[in-house]
Amino acid sequence: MNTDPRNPDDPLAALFRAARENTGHLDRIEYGFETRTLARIREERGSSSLAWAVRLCPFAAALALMAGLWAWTHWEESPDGDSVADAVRLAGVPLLDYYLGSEQ
Amino acid sequence: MIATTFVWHNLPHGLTADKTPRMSDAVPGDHALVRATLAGDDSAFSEIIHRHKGRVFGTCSRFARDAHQLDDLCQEVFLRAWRRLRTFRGDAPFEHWLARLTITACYDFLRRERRHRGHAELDDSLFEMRDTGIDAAIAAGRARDLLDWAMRKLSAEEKLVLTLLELEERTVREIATLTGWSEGNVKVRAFRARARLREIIERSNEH
Repeated sequence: MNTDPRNPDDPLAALFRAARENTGHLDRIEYGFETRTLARIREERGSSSLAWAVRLCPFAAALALMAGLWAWTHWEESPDGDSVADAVRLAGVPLLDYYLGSEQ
Repeated sequence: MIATTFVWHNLPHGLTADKTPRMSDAVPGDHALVRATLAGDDSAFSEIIHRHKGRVFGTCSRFARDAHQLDDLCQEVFLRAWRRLRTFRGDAPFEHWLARLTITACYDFLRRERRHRGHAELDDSLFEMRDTGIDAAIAAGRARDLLDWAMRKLSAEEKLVLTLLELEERTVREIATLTGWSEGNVKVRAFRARARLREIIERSNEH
């Protein structure tokens, strides 16, 4: 083969020339392209909102946990909390007696 | 004062530059469309796609092997453009910025293809091109098939530089701008790629 790539008689140059002319028809492929691309963009926009929501999940969980802990500690300390605990304890005695069959 | 307002996105798509310009026919430039897209107007981006898809399809068709791949690749180009639209500074024509994005997307596509394919056997449809000489392939109208078959054996860089130089007929300077390689680098890569392509075709004819 000829060694000069820019020589018009070079077989490789002839191959490139012939391939250049064979471009095919793109009209049919281009049909509706804008619609398809915009649909993908909207899809990505939607999924990026979801990605933000997923990213915020750990913070929301941490916040919920902290709120739960705060509520727990304050419930233990409050007088209302004691009265509720007492009520549960007292209500539990007759129920336990009923199941054990003990008579008073 | 003459009113210059217009509803650009209601204009017919077939509007061409050779039409006599009138104020009512004023078509927004690419920069205005970019600004409108960034402000959340999807129809502005649709117009951008409509204006530039021909060139993007032309370039991508040199790299994709079928219509499905071509469609995916072109969509990837415009998706990247949409994602990076804020990085368009507007000091150069939009089409230059988009051309660079197109070439980067095509290069990534070639590398991905190469990685997935590895050293596996080539497609059966192209395998028959192995024993076909250049002259016979040209005579049979299958120059593109022979070139596709031979170029699939090249690296992504080699295929990119030969496609831009020989099929897209771009200059060394243009390729350097598009790829970010130096002009010397482009020349060296092109020289090596041609030598390798020649060797691949010659060796296939010896079998």
